[in-house]
Formats: sequence, structure tokens, C-alpha cells
Amino acid sequence: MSKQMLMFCLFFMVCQIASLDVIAQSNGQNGRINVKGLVLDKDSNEPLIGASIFELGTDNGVTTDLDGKFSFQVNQSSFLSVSYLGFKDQTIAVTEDDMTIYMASDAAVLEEVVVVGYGSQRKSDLTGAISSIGAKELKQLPSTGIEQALQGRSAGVYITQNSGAPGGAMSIRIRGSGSTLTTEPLYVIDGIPVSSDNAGSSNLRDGQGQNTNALTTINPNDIESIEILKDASATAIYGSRAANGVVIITTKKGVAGKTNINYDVYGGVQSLYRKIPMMDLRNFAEYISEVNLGDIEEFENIDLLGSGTDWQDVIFRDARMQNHQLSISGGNKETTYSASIGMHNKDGIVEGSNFQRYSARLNLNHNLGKVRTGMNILASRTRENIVFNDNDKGVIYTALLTPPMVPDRLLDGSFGVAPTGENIVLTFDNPLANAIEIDDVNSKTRLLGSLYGEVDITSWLKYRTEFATDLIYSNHDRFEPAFDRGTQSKNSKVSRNPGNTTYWNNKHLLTFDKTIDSLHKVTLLGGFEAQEGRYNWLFAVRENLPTNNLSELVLGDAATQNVTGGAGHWALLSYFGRLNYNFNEKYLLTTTFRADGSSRFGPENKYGYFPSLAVAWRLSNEDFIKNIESIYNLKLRLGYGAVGNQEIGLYSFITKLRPVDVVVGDIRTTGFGPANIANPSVKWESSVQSNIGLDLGIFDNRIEIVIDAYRKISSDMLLESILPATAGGLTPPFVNIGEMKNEGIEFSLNSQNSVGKINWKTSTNISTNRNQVVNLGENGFIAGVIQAQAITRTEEGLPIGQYYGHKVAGIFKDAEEVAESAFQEVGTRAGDIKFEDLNNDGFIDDADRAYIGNPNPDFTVNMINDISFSNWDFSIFFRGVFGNEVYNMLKRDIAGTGAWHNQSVIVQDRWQVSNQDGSEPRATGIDPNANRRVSDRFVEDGSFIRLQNVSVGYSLPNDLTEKLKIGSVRIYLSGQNLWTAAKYSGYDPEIGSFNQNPLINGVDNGRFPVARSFTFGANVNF
Amino acid sequence: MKNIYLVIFCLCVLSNFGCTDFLDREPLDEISTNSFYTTGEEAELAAISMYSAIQAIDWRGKSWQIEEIPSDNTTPGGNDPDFSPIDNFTTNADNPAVLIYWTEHFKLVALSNQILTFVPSIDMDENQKNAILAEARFLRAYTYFDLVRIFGDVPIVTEVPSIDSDLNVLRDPEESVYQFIVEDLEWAIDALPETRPSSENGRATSYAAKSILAKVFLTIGRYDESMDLCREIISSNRYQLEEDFANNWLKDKSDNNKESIWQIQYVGCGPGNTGNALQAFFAPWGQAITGNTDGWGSQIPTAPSIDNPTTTILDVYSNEDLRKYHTIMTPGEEYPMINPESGGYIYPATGASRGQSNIKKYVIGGGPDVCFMSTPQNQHAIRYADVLLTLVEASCKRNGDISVTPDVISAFNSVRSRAGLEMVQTVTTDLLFEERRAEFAFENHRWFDLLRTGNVKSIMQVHGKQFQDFNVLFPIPSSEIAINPNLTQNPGY
Repeated sequence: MSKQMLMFCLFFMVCQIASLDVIAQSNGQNGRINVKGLVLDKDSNEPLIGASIFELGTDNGVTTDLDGKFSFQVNQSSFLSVSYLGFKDQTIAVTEDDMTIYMASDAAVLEEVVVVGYGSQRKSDLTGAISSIGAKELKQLPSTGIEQALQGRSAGVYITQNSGAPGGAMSIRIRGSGSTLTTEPLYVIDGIPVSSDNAGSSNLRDGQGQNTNALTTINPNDIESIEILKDASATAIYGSRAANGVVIITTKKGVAGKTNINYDVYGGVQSLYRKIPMMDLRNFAEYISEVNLGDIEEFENIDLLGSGTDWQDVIFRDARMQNHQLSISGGNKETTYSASIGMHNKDGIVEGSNFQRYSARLNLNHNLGKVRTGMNILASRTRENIVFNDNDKGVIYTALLTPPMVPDRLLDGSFGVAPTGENIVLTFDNPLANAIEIDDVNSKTRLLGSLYGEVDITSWLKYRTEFATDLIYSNHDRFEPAFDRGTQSKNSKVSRNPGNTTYWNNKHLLTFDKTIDSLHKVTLLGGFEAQEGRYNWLFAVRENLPTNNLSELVLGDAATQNVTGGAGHWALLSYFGRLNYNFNEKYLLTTTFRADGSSRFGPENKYGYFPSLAVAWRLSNEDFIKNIESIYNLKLRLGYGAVGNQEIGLYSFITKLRPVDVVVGDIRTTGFGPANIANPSVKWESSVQSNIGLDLGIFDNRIEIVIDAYRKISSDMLLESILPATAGGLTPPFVNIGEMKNEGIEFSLNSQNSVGKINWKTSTNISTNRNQVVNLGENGFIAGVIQAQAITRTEEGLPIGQYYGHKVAGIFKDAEEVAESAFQEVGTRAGDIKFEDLNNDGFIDDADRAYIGNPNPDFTVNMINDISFSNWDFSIFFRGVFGNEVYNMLKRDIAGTGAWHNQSVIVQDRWQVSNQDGSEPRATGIDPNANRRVSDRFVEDGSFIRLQNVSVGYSLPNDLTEKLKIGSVRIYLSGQNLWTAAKYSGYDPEIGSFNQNPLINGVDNGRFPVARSFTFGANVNF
Repeated sequence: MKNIYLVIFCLCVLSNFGCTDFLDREPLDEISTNSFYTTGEEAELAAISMYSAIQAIDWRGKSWQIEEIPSDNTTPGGNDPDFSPIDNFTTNADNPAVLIYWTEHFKLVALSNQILTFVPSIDMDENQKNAILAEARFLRAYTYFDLVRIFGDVPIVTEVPSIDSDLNVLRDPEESVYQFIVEDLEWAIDALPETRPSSENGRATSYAAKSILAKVFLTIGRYDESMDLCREIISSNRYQLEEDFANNWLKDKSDNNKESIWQIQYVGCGPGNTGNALQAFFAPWGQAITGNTDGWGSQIPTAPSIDNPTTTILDVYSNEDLRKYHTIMTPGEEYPMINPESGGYIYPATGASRGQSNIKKYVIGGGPDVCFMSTPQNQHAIRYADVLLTLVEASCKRNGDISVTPDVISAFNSVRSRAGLEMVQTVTTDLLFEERRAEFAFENHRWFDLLRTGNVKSIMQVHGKQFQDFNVLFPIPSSEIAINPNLTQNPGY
């Protein structure tokens, strides 16, 4: 790792060497003259069409033509005022020569406006830690979901893909983990808060494998900007839902002016990055005869065997994807609009997996002077074909373990099974059949819509109200066909699981905005918000359908029918306010307050209160720094605030009865039994966060540095009480008792390293976070369990989710060594793993377990280089995660020497009488020594450096596009996940969390690996 | 217009009035305890929920792991990390099967305490109310009778737990537990109905309570009282032995038949815990007779090849004993009642993969109402035959291990003659236990019977097990002691 690190650092330094060039300006003379010239975009050197040019103080003016040129008569000593939407206005003295006027984009300088909670602010006025990502950056990565596009873009935001399945979920940690319940941030999409509960809790899958991702319903191409609010002074306005940070997503709006029609298209192919080397048939035959479960005739002469089925080749494929998007925007002074339709279709690299999305968006704004109104609609239909993964019965896991002698298909095309025989007992069904034959489709129709009205009551007082809704109609349909494959047979089964989620929200905002004595700029916001969410679901199943061709419930055997369903609701009532005070552009103060009343809180704690305070000092506006030419911007920020997490379950304060299925008189019926022990005083998890930050811009802001340091103390963390079984097995009460601490530093550096005509921009961020669990109350520790195996332990004094198990001391060379060592198991023999007797009591038992690995990275580094040169543009994106460990649960079986399980090739170097120094334990079939127990044998270095993305784009030259009568065309080729340097022996070291469970990170349980993909696309602007 | 809107808005912001209701959200798919337990109907709904605890796979589907595996009747079908130590008396306090047994039983204790706490204040028909309270006490007693025999001293819990209650209970001495059981059952016998309509089959009756109490008295040496209860049941003439032993095991004849005093009710293919899971564990491994992917042969009859060749369950049956065919699958034997539509089933001549014989009881094959770990066949909790043999045992024990009392002999002979065995004139305790073993093999009686012989150590030693005195009790689960330090461990663990 250290060598890779060094290389990485060197590369990084080279990229940051900046060279500067200065734009010269020209002089003027006297008299009435003809002035002519060209208006260009300073960044791209493209001509600006329709820019207005006026003689200053008159209404004498023109607009630029299609080439960006202008010409008209003015007074000799006059000035020209040049303006263009989205660019800074300029005033320039008239010259007689051809003038070339460079317009600076508004977004490139400090006047950039950033969306904050319930409003927006000039970037220069910010006091909190906020990262902003624009459409330009988002466009670079052709991705299915928002989070992929966000990955690596912001310091302190650690995003991992939980599953490489198309449409698979991501886990997002903003400044570490501050809860054991959920650490996913709150998303605010066009003012509509969206968290897991909007998406409904109707996922009735068996609680294993990965859940799907609610945010994939949003088309990333529709997004104008994403703001990540990281510290409490920025997030506290969202009160009880802000403890894990807030991600504000703003979709595209129309701009007055020319009608803009865009067509974006890309297509691509994805493939498995690397295979895990597994035994072929010959190796397996040799291995299995050593396991000695009886002689197999076919294996008697190993030389006659072929290589058998390569199950990885069978279940993995080169998968295609395509994306189309047509958008139109424009409008006039009064009305602007922006609309788009999109289609996204992506196959997964595992057979049978697929994700499709159809999306549409409409944004309308109408301006009547003092009154403004508008609406926004995002509609989408997604369809996800799920292949069961991240489970030891999942397709990937079983494909690796299925022996090579099992044919994937027979000659007639039907699925193969293990050869029949007395001694051959296979635990798994054909993995390919499971991937293809089982229909497991999750589809969602979602409508996110909002309406607003805004009135200027006076020039300094504004009232705004918004109504918004989020409707999700989802269906989880599953069909398992009947089959009879000799040794394996099964009845067909169909299940239908529809669910509805409805959510509405109403906001009233009053904004006071006034500058007093031109020194005191005051913005005061007061607001009220009510929101309500409801969900309901049904689940129905029948078995034994007469045919595999049809899969509707009604065809199933009524005797096997099961139906159930449920519903829930919640509400939130909030009052909030914010004061922004700016004194002479030097001293900034932001203070916010929010009171949240939540239906989830117990009667004793119905309302939670969340204050924050932040100050900033713009040193660059002080005289003593103003004179230093190289310093363009220097700001110190200090913030402090309290936020909460209300995702504590809907009704944990109520003692409830639950319906139970029971049989009376040989008839199934429903009774009601106690469900839980309630905690009437349950409340939000609280998080107190402080932040200190520095923004520095030097050399005309060509180099921008942002440094933040933070501390987050999460307290009142909700933990389940541990009750003895004698309390009757009721769901224990949740109590607000835990405490956790996160501290970290974030550093980001953006530089414009223009070299001649090459425009080169580098963005780098480095972040580090230290997590520590301070208090877990009576629990002492919490185990993170996957499939009945406690892999992680979260304990006081240590970071969250540490791997916990035995330590391997080596492999017993001979019987003598077994006899001399601590007692392990009755069946322990030479060739078994020797575990360390940590407490030296002569026995290896649970008391000999210890902490064996940390899934939390020491630091992460991301670097993006954007280079443009004439019509070409390049982008290279490196991502590095360092110092974390992963738990390779898959290896537990592929190197577990199980009977009739195929094995990794590393098992060939197993202990044998003739190979007493083998690296892997002996082949036993039944593992009497429990060599597979949780131990550091399966803990691996999870650090990696990844070439996340490389893209090359070419914009067709203007003369060509003119001939074609289109505005502009950019074609590009992009490759993702092209190269990874990692020590990890599995598919992919980037593992994420198990079902977004904060306690289980980095555990590879046959997870769907992230694919390597190539995309080819075009953006056409008509 | 604008101003009116503003005024409304300000009112809403400034006053909390009317808004608190907005935040009051009761669950929609669960019932708040505050609004329940108000009518007789609700009391009935709560009462039937108690049976779900016993029907659970983790209780009745798995109780053989504790109540049969340690006995000389069965052995695990493979080298299982959980059951093999139980079979070999090397189990420790970490054994998950022991924890499940403990946990599942205390679930029913909590369910019955909930009834006993909330139902008394309901304004409802007094008889109906008392019957429900009696049902709760019956089930609680039944649960404690299991617990006290497996663990010895156990905590007597009578309160509904709340966040404020002290849940670190202490173990109560065996005698107090038995006294508690007797009190519950005596109360229940008075208040329970004698019979139930068939729609309520499986719910407690006074005769079920009497049968259990007779067993309790037998266990604690109150033989006279035990005999009285048995005679009450017999003389009521409500129950008879099925003419054919097979009728207790055939799918369409065994449910709630005339021999059944109390059965655990099941339907096949229902959700969760509504099916009988025993076939999944008992059916021979790899024979695909269930039509599902279950049938694991997890528990198999003891066999001469593995165990002491004279003490296995196979040694119990004489050739003329009609019960063997319906109890044990033996090599080459034909079973036309298992999957009749496909011509029945023939047990392989070499045995199935995990042994040379398998359990036949509760193995009924596939069918539309049989699903994975779920058959519709009820489980016998108390058969009339058990009451008859309880009378015999009490009588023998009362009279120096031998009995010639006419009604006792006749009870004994009725069980024997149904099995095709010859009548006897006298019965001894040893003979009785042999008869019980043959009659109730794999019905979770044998371990408790062994404990009542007073001779379990030598019987198990002869059977070839390293049995020590402390093995008469199971360990208190270690995780339970870790949570509740007030609990003590049984000696030897």
C-alpha cells in the first residue's frame, strides 16, 4: 500500500502545479465612432449569442449575432455595458479596434449561490460546512443513481456501493457514523424531504440480501445541483432529521431566453473486473477424493476428466446499458419552463439482473412581478429485476461453491443438476436456474410534485408557501417456477407484494431581507412546516400453479394461499427560524432554531428543540489583507449546533398487541398477543456538532483551499434494552442511552492549472474521520449478525462495527503439536487451524476472541482532473480508501474445505501429510475443528486505489454543427472502474454496509461486485 | 385576501391549539394495549394467541431436541454440533437448543400472565372470564411442568414486564414450582369447560388439566391423588383408545380423534408457525418423500450399530407388536400411506443416508397441504393411553412397584391388547416403563419417563453413555445468566 500511496501523492503534486495567465485590456479615444467586437465565454472561449451591449447610460444597444459578434455607433469616450444571463455584467471603455470581450461566468466567482435549507445564500455568506456539486460535474459520470455521481466529490462524505447490482443501494456516511440505527442522510429533493420512511417499509423480503435503493427513482440527468450540508450550523434548520447530514438536490429550472433542446444518449457495456480463481474439475476431483466421502466412479481416473463447468463464466456476463434523455427548456421574462423525458436500461453483470427507469420532469415558473408561482413534477417508473445476492444462498455465493462437475445446462437446454448417486448430496440448486428462472421484480412508480406561491409583501418582506407530495406505488412480484431436476424438485410459488406510500408537506415561510445603512445586511427567516406520511402494503402468496408460463395468484392452489398486509403513519410539525447577519461583508453570523414535534416521540418528549450558531470572518475584506494581491478570498468559519435523528421506529412508546397466526380446532385463525415493552419517554437521538473551517482562495481564486475540522458527539443514542428471556421474548424497549463520538479533518483543494490553451482543473479532497463509541449503557457491546454469525462487535471505547473473533496462530503441523497446544475441539487433528489461546486457560473457546479488524478507513483521497483543449475534454478520476479492513465471508466457504463445495485454488496449497507447510487447513468436508469460525483468517486489507473514471469528449467544431444546423454536439467515451490496486482477494474491496446497517460494514457475503464499464455517448444541443 | 391568508398562517404558527392531535399517531396494524382488553371477544382473541407459543416450530417443532435426544430412544442423524452433545451428555451452557427451549417456554409464561393481568378487569360474562383465566393458568402450569423437569429450580414469573419492573428474577426451588403448578391446575380444573365444540379443539378442557395434574402428582410422588384423577377421567367415558394404533398416525384419522385429550393443532402450508414441522426433522434424509426440500433425518432411532445392541428402541418391540410399523421405518418395509398417489413409499433395504432406520411417526409424505416444514397433522400432547398408563404407574409405585388392582390391570391390558400383545395378570413398574417406551416412542415422553424411573443413570450407562448424576438437569443457558446475574447455574455445568 505504501508504494501505491507514494505514487498517488507524486501524481497529485504534479497536477497541482499551476501556471497563470493574465488577460490584457485595451484603451479608448474620443468622437462618434463605430464599435465592433466579439463576446466570448471566458472559460470556454465560445462565442456568446444574444449578449446585450449598451452604451452606458443610454438605450442605444444591440445584441450579438450567431457568431457572438456586434457592431454599432457610440460616442467616442463612452463605456459599454455588456450583460448575458448567467455571466457577470461588465463595463468596458470603448476602443476603436475590434473589441474582444470575455465574460466571466457568474458561477465561477464568489457570487455563486448555494442552496441551503429553506432558501439560498451567496456562497460568500456561508458560515457552515457545505459542499456544492453542479450539473457539470454530475454529467461526467454516466450513472444510474445520484449517489454514484456524488462518490468522491466532497470531502468528509464517504459513499460506498452496497451492491453492484443495477439499481443497488449505496451507503452514505457524512462525517462518520453517529447512530446504531441509521446513518443515512436526509435527502431534500426540490424542498421535499425524502428519507427511508417516505419509501415505505413494505419490503417483505426475508430480511436477507440487499435491499433496493429508493433514490434510483430520480434521474441524475435532471439534477441541477447537489448541496451536501455537513455540519450542524448548516443542517440544524432540519432539526430532528439532520443528525446524519442533509443532501439537498435541486432539479433543473428553465432560464428565460432561447429555447434549448438537448438530447443526451449513451450506451455501454459492463463486465466483471476480476474472477476469483477456483478449482477446475480435475483439481476438484483430487480434492474431493481427499475429503473422502466415498469413492466416485467418475473420479477414479482424474486424467480423463475435462475442466468442467466454470460457474463464474456461467453466471457473469458482459452486460449492456443504454440511456436516452430529451430535454427542453426556455421561456420569457414572465414564464420559464424546463422539461425532460428519460429512459435508462441497464443489465447487471450477473445473469438475470436488470434495472429500467422511465422518467419525466416538468418545471414551470411564472413571474407576475410581486407574485411568483411555479410547480415542479418528477415522475418515474422503475423496474428492477433482482438476483438474490449478499447471502450464502445467493447466486454469486452458490455459483462459486457449485462443483465443476455439475453442468450448467444439459444438451437439451434444460438446467443441469448434480449427477445422481448415493454419495452425492448437493446443498444447492443450479445457480444459473436461480438467477434466470426466478422472477424477482421490484417496480416503483413515483411522483414527486410541488407547487409554490411567493409574494413580495414589501420590498424587504416575502411570504412563500409550498405544497408538496411524494407518492410511491411499488410492487414486489416474485415467481419461482416448478421444476423437477432429478435430485431436486420444487413446487411453483408466486407472491405479490404491492405497497403504497403517500406523503405530503406544507410549508409557510416568511423572509425579511434588508440592508440597513449599507453595512448591516439582515436576513430573517421564519417558517412553519407540517408533514405526514402513510404507507400500506399487502402480501399474498400461492403455490402449485398448473403451469410455469403464467404466474398470477389466481392460478395457484387456494389451499396454499397466504395473505397479509399492514399500514402505518407518522407526522411531523415544525417551527423554525434563521437569522443571517452580515456586517460590512466582513463579519457573518448565522443562527437557527427548530422545534420539531414528532409522532414518533413519546408523550413525555413530544417536542425536540434544535439550535445552532455560526460565525465567520471574511479576512480578505479587511484592509490588512485586501492589500495582499495574491489573496482573493480568506474566510474563517466557526459553527456549533444540535441536531437529531428521529428514525427511531414509528411507535416505540406504545405498548402494543400484535396479530398472531394460530390454529384452533384445526382451522387457522388470528389471535392477539403482546408485542413489546414500551418506553413512554423515548425521544430523538441527539447530535451536538462543532466545526471550524477555513476558506482560502489565492491567485484570482485559481487555487481554492477549504479546510474543516469537526467534532460530533452523538448522545441519547437509541439502544434496545437487553432483557432476559424470562421477560417473555417481547420486543424490548428502546432507551436513549448510547453515546458516540466522531472527529475528523477535511481538506479540499481546487486549482485551475491552465497551461497555454489547455484549460486544466484539478480537484482533490482528503478526509479522515475517527469514530469512537463512548457509551452503550447496559449493553456493553452490540453484535452485528449476518446469517446467525456474529461478525462485528460495537463496544465502548472502540470505533463502531469492529470485526471480532479468534486469532489464527498457524496450522498444526502434526499430532504432536495438537497435543501440546490448548484444547480446541474433540476432532482437532494435524492440518487444522491453531487458534491463539488468548486467556491462556488451555482451552480455545469464546473467551479467546478479540478484535481482529477495523472496517473504518484511516483516510480517503479523491482526485479529479478535468482538462480541456480546443474541442477536446478529458477527465480522470482517482479514488483511494486507505487503512480499512474487510471481512471476506465468502472465503469462509470457498476455502472452507466443505464436502461437495468447490474451492478456491488456494486450497490446493492445503495441509497434507506430504505438505505440512501448506497455507490452508486440511480438507475434511465436515470441519470438525471449526476452521471456518469467525477469525482473522478472513480479515483482509481493504485499502484500494481505483481509477474510478476516465472520460474523453470531443465537441464537433462550429462550422460542422452549423452545416448540420444543430447547436452543439459533444461525443464522449467514458470508462468506469478501469483499474484497482488492492490486496483484497475477493471480487471488489469496496463493500459498503450490509443493508445500510451501521453496525455491519465491509463484510463480503457474496456481494454483487461493481462492474467495469465502458460507455459511449453524445450530448446534442439543437 | 393576501392578508387573510397571512393571518391564518400566523395563527397556526403561534398557537399550538389543535395541532397536537396531528401528532397523535396510534399504530394501524398493531393494537395499542390501552385500547384492548375491553370485551369478552377481545379476551378470547388474546386467549387463543397463547397457543401460538406452543405451536411454534421452536417449541413443539424442536422439543424433541431436549425431551427425546438425551433418551435411549434416539440419536442425532449426523454429527450435529447442537444435539450430539445433548445425546452424549457433554452439553454445556452455551447450547443453542437449550436456550431455545428455555426462551420459548418463557414466552408462554408471559402470554398467560398478560391474560391473568388484564382479563380480570374486563366487564364480561363471569363464566367465560373464568374459563379464559383457567386456560391461562393451565397453559402456564403445563409450561412450568416442562421447565421444572428440565432445569430444576426455575424463576416463577407472574407479572407482565414493563420498563420499570425488575426483570432480574431469582430461581424458585423445585418444591415451590410444583406447588405453583398444582395450584394453577387445581384452579383451572374447576373453571375450565369439560368439553369444547369441535371449532375449539385444542383449547384447554378440565380433562386436559386433570390429565396434566395426574402426571404432576405422579412425578412428585402423590400417587393417590394421581390415581384419583386418572380414574375420574376414565370413568367419565369421554375418551377411548382408538381400536387401531395406526389411527393415531394416519393423516386423516389422527386429528382430534377419540383418544385425543389434548392435541396441538396444526394446518399445513399456513404462514409461520401454523404447521407441524416434525416431518421435516424426522423423514429420512435424501429420500424426497415430502415433496419439499425438507426431510433431514435429524433425529433417528437408536440402532445396534451405533449404540448398545440390547438397549435400543429397536430392541423394545417384539415381532408381534403392531406399533413398530407405525413408529419406525425399517429396511425394505413398504408404506402405502406415504404418498399413496405415487404408489406409496418403500424404505431402502440399506437404510437411508443417515441410518438404517428412521422415525415413522408424523411422517406422512407430500400433498397439496404439505409444505416446507409444515404438515397439517396435529401433535399429540395427551393421549388417553397416557392417562391409562399413568394410572398403572401410580398404582405400581404406590404398592411397591407391582400392581394387581383390577382396573389398573385392565387399563394396562387395553393398551397391550391394542398393540397385539398378550394380556398380563400383574404389572410391575419395569414392565410399565417398557410398555410406555413402546407406546410413546418419539412422542417426547421417554426422557421424562427415564427421570421417573429413578434409575436413569444406570439405564443410560448400560446404554453406553457417560452419564453423571448432574445430567438429570440441563444447564441454565449461559447467555441468560450473563444478562441476569441473579440466576445460578445447575451443578456440574
